[in-house]
Amino acid sequence: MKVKEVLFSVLKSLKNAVRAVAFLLILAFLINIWIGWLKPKHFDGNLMMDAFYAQQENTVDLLVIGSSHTFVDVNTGTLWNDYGIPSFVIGGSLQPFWHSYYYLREAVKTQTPRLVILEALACNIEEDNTFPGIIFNNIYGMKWGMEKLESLRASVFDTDGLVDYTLFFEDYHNRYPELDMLDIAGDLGDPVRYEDWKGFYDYFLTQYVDEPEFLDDVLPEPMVNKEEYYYRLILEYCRDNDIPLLIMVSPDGGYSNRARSHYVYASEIADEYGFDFVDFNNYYDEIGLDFSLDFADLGHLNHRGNRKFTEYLGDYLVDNYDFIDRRNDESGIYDSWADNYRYLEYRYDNYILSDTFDVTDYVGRLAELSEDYEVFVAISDLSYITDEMRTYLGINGIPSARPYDERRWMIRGGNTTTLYADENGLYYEVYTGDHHLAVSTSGFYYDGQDLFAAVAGYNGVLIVVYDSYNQTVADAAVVFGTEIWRL
Amino acid sequence: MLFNSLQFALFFLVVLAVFYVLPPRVRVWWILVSSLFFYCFESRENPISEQSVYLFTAIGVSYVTGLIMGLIPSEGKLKILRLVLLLEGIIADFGMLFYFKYTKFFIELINPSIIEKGGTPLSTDFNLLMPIGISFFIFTSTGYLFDVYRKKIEPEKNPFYYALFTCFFPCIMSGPIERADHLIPQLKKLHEVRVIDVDRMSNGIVLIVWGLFAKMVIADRIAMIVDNVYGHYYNYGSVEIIFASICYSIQIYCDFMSYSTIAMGCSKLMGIDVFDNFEAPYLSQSVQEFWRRWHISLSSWLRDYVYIPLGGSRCSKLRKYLNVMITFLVSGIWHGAGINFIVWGGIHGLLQVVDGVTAPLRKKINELTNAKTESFGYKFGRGLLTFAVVDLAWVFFRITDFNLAVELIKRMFHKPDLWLLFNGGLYTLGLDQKEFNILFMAVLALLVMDIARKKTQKSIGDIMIGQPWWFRWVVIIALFFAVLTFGIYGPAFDASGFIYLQF
Repeated sequence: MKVKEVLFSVLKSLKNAVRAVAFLLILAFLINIWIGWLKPKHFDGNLMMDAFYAQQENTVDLLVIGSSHTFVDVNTGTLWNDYGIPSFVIGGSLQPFWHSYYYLREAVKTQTPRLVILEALACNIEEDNTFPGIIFNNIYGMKWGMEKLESLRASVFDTDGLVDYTLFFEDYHNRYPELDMLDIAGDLGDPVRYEDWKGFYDYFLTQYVDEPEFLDDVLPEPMVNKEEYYYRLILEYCRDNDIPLLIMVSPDGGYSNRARSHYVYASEIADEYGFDFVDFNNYYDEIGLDFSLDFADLGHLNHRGNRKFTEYLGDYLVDNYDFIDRRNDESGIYDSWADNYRYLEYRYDNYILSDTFDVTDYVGRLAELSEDYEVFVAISDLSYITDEMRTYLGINGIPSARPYDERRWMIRGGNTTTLYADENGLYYEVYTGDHHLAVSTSGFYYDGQDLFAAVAGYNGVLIVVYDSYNQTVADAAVVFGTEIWRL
Repeated sequence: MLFNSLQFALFFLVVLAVFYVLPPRVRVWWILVSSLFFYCFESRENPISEQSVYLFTAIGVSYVTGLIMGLIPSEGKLKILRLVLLLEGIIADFGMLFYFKYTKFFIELINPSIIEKGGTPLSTDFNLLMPIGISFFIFTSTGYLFDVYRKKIEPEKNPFYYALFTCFFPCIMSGPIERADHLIPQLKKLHEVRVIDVDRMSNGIVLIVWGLFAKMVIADRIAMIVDNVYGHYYNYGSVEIIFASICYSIQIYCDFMSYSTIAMGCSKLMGIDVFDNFEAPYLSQSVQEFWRRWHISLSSWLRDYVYIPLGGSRCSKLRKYLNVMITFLVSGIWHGAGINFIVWGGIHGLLQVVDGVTAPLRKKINELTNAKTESFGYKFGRGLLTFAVVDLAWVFFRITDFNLAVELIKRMFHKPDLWLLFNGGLYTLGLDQKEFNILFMAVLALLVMDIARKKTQKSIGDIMIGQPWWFRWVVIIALFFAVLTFGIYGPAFDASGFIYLQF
């Protein structure tokens, strides 16, 4: 009897222990999901590091580290397509050198770059470069380890701050008001970019910027002590570990004599360590920059500017450093760079299309679209239509007589499908990844948003261009006579 | 080390882990050391002699007094000595409390008459830093002396058990105010607490997460509306001010209830049951019932050690009502040194007197009108009325300036713009629509939980013990993630203090 009781007690304790362990496991599992949903998802710093960790080991030949000037100026697609250089950009907004230092240490754990480029904007930053946004963008994407802890330690001044940021969940939870379905997707609804992303961000915006005026010769001016300390650490680290390093300053609309004096100072330090320092602000003409067209804002190149600059940079790199053209590699380990290039070029073409306001040009671009594009057409009135548009519709077999207003058409690679509404008024719908496109009698809807909400009531030809490769709407326009209206 | 801070979480995890690992007989010493550390850590801003010494004095005085009292027979000539010792203990304890809490208040009170008589007003230019938790540990030790005096309990001979009873860390800052015959026997049996007791542990965890939910998701969120509207009352009309006062009622309930609930949960994890301080007070049918459900450990303390010694209800009606008024005025003064607290206590006393005086009349009216007093409608109406008067009284509790409190109440009766309830106007009072919806759902959960508590007459933890294990898991996990996600914490916020810590 006693043995039975003891056995029963042991079994009960065992059952309770198993239950407690199961509870903790479920809790841990759910916490992991919670972290995935709430973690910051800035492309710079956060998703960029996820993408970096996803790279095959020892495939990145060129590693670019620095501020936002890196991830909007150095086009990884161009470096691949024109030079066969597999590159990756690890950059964060206003990234100080201490973050760059720990990023470098983190990066070389898995990659052996043939060259590291350190972008040097941090030499020129004079304000306190320690605030939550910086920590979010430049540290939170890093895996837990000494580099991350050291980077945090270098970023905060007191123990409380270190505890606050080390216990990341406090910051994660602050994101709950901005949480949406794309956070659950984990890639902000851009899976194509995310899969093959190399850290570069095309900035599709144009702002007129005055060409900076500065003296050729300025006296060197020391940078902030803390920046210099970590700048030297980077240089020492590369020297001690035989990592080829180039320090560069990218073209900057906000460039000044003061900035130049800091860069001169930094170049002198680079000389001490035997590393090259190139200030590309000395080569505006050689790069071919047009300050009225090639900048997105004062400090950043846009989609046109980054391509010009990267071509110049690529020439410089292949002339001065030891790179291998990986385009001929047949092992497949570099395929994602080709995909990245394709992604970037599609995005570029999409932007150009959506930025076209001349009907003749527009029709020309529509006619050149590849089979990855679907062009949806709805006609409400053909009273005002240019000859070019009429020709485009005619070539694609879209009739110019009623009841065209009761039909919709889908053109892909020169083939046209006539769409008829079902009893619910739905002509066509497609789910791709996390997105949904619907063509119905009430309009064109992408992820539930009426693409023509802002131009409702206008007659003409409604055109929606869907980029099925990137799973995104490339353009939604109303062509009315010689005018093009958009959201 | 607030209960909703990371420091406390770490502290408690260490205390608990060591508690379970230590040999059972050593546990009680460990909890004593932890409690003293907790108190000294809290008082670290000030030199130990300035803060902790008062706690040690209160412990020492009441321990020795109780011990001597126990040696004196309660019959015969010497029994007067017992009374003298009780008075000595009370004077020592309350002397400390009055010195810290009320010196400034009384000086401010008498200064006008000094000035009127041409004298020099006494200086109020000094800062008496009140020892943390003084109101609570003084009441605990005084209650003990009363119980020894009345022979309800034997004096505790072991100074360490007594010290732990007085400074038990979950209760010392803000209650519940424990009684010796309830807590000390449990302390003496700490070695019998089983390490793995899933029911007890899940009970404790439910209490802790529920307390954190009430504090961090409801109280600290709703405080944004209260602070905004009360802080800028001149910008708002009657609907907003009434809404803010309702919000304050919810805030103070969640704030204080959460502290007591977390204290219960922490104690439960160490195998100790402390008093449940709140039992769905806003579902009360009268102010009298409200006080049976609100801050129960204080109400029962005042009942046992103030109201009953004054004569309680076993006397004339007039005397009984006077006793009620005195008890509630004491309650008001206990909460703070200010006219507003006295008014607040007075209102509650008066409401109970009015309730008692009008009871026969109400009964007659109910009979004449066939009021169906057992119906839902009748009870709902009474509950609503009780909530309304308690809510109005809270205005005096929240607003320290008496005239301003009266002004706010006046503004509640201006012509109301009821569209504000439907046109999104409520989203402009300090919380946007998203935050408001989170708050609404959380308050709904609070209501459901309080209804369950009132129906079952059990604590949240005990209600959960009666549920299937998977249901408990779901509730714990849901509350945990609600706190983790929607709780007000992080670098952007300071861990908000508990309102009752100031008392």
